Amino acid sequence: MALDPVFLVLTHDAAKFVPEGGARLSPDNLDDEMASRADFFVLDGADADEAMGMLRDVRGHANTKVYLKPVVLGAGAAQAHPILREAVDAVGSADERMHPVAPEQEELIHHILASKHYQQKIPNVLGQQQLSMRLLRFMASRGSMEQMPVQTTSALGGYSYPKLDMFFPEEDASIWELLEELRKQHLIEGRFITRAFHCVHCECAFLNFMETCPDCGSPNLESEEMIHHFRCGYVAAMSEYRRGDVLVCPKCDLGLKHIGVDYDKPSLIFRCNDCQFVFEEPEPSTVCYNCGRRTAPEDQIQRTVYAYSITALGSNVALFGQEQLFNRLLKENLELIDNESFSRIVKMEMERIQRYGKSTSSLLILDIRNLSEALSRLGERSVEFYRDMANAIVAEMRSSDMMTIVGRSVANVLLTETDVQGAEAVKERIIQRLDAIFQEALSMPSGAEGRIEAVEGIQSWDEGMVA
Amino acid sequence: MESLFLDSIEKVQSFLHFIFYMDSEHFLKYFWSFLVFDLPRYVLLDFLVIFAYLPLRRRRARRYAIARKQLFRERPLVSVLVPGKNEGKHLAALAESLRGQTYSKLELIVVDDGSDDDTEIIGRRLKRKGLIRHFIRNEERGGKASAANTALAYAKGRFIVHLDADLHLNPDSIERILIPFFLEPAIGMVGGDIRVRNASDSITTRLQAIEYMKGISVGRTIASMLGMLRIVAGAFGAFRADVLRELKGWDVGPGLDGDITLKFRKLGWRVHHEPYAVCYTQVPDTPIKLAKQRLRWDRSVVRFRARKHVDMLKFDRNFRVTDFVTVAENLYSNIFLNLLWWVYIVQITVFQAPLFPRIIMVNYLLYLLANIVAYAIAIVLLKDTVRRDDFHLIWFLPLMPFYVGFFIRVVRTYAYVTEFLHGASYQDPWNPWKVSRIARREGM
Repeated sequence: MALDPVFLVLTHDAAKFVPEGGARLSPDNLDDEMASRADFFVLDGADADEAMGMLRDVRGHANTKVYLKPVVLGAGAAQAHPILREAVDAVGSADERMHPVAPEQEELIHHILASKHYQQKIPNVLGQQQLSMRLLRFMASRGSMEQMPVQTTSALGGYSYPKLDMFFPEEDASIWELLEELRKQHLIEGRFITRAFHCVHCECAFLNFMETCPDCGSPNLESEEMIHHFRCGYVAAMSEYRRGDVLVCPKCDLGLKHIGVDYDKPSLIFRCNDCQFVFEEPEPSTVCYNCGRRTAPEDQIQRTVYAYSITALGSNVALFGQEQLFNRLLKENLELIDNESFSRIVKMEMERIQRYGKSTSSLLILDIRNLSEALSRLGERSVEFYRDMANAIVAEMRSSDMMTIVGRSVANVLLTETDVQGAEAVKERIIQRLDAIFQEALSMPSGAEGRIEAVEGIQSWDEGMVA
Repeated sequence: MESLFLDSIEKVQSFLHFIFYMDSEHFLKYFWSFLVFDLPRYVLLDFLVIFAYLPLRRRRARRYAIARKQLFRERPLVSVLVPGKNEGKHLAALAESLRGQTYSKLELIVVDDGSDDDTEIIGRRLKRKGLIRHFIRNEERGGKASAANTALAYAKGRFIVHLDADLHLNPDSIERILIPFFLEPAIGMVGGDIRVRNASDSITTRLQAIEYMKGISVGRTIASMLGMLRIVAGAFGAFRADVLRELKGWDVGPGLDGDITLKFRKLGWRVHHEPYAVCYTQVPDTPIKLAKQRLRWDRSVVRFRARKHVDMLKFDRNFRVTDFVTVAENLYSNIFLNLLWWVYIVQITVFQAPLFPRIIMVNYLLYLLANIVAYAIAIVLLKDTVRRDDFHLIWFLPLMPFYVGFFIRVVRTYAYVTEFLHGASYQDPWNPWKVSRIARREGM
């Protein structure tokens, strides 16, 4: 059996030279098993645009083993592209006949390959909902590396996060919102770099700042210094004083001699050449180079540009997912059962009660509506918060009761041998406890709502049944 | 105890005898200052309000209504200029008061003349809210005249209203100050009627409230009717913008309001006082602060009337009788009468020393009577613009003879002497030194 190649050269060129230890792979064949097994990809550096496209293909792939794989920029003209150089994990050898990875880059590649994020086997679903998770996993797999913004005219936003941008389609400005959302949830943290204006309509960073007439908005203005003649108190624009090469006061007909001695220039005066309005202060305005719309600077988006790195919480979420994080914590205390098993037990219980009709059990469907907000507000402290919540629910359950988690915030609890009335009381107590925890930690209600169903009354039971 | 009582009775009897058995020759000899100068000047003339001004105003009521209609038909833009230093705290109230005016086509122009408080922040905020049309900030103070002239450079209105920032206006004040321009085209500037806002603060402010009612409301109404008005207060005055521009604005103060009034007159424009265009101002609440304010005002009389505009007394081709009388009367009543008052004081203390207490007592009664009459006439003139508090001022009339007859005259004399001898107004910190230095050198 032939050994797997150590690296794959991604290229559209079927005749592309591949150094020893590597193999060629068309970017159309990234689904190939070989793509998952290789240590790293080498981009054909002959053409920068093509290389960029291939990198997007890699980062956009569904398989963790593909999109998290280290990518090296191969020899060729593309190595001169500044953004591309930042977007890849390493820039390879400039000579295509040599091994593409320099010895000092090997450690980096091995580090990525060894990360548990790279090793995990969580199935992926492509789509915007998962994009945040993919970004987190990527950042987590790159360890403590900061994602630095790069100032560039080639990105609409004026700044690019070259490595992260590759997860987004071209010209997609949503990276700003997504990173900000992750930062607010404390999954990543930002180090202040600078602030930048972006067009409120199209997010373009290329804005023409102009001084305009407050009356008609025209930028066709002229400004003059005002002159104050001490002797007579006259104040007017300098042009009124100008007589040939000298300044003469139009009020008292005396020549002005020395600034600060017999006159001064206290302010500026502006005149609009279009509407003739005279004013003291022009109005700043911006015109977007991209969409051409005019907006007042204060109405434009002013963003803080951060260098981002992943937090411990972010790393945790990257491994388990947000819902899984909650589940994991609850499991510790509740011996939570998975949805499938829970459904099977509920069905058995339904049949048992319907057949014998001697007892009754209830199903509590509990929706903690403010859980997502709690997560974003508490950040890293969420772990302790979840633990408190779990303890609160456990305290109200008996050993024969069972619970599963559905979706982000819904818990289904089977209360055996409990009638609807009894279940209502349990529900009220759980909600009270949850409210108390939310109030103490966040000064907000839990938003928890519960619905009780008598198990024998359930007509049909689906796995994903939620409130 | 009994002898003390009898002694008092005897003194009263002797005083009454002194009054009622005095022949007219002695009466004139002892009280000539009041009888010859103050009685006609400050009492008899006031009766013109009753017998001439109010009947005239009634006869012109229809013309007044037509002028008002014309104002609202033409709706000219009016530029309201508010120059000043550290006036930020008053700006919001002023802007609101202007928004509530019955005449609304106004542009508010504020010049912040080197304020070192929050005026700049407040002004810019009000501008953003659209309550101020222009807010001009001068980092370095240039003085009142330059600040007003800066505002004038931005003004687009057909009429200019100059306002102090701390004023309160009645809702129809702007309308009323504008109507005279449509009543008589020869009117170039109109003065508003200044009343005291903080009368209840202290005795000093109450006495000034009475003084303003007599001197401004009544005095200027009569002077205006006789064509002899010599000042339109800078606190609230309206101007034809074209004339103000022809004059290239205000000259360096203090007293720039009196100065600009005389300059309007020199150009042949009539100057009018409108007693129902009311504004309320804050006056000094202690005698010391009041003295400082009056020193500035009185010195400007010397600086502008006796020096700068003394040419109005000359018989040259620009000579006009009303201008001559205006300036002459001003110099006469302020400077000459003030001098005579000292002559009179010397006379009664040196030559009528034994009668001094009785003469002083009679003088007091005469001036008190004069004040009561003047106050009553002011109430009749001001009619429904009189506020309830103004009626309570009556209890302070007994203090007026001391206030006008002693305090005001002493301050005035000191002001004149220091101005004549040293040109003290040029040292006044009211103007920045860079301006005062040159004004003094140039004799401006």
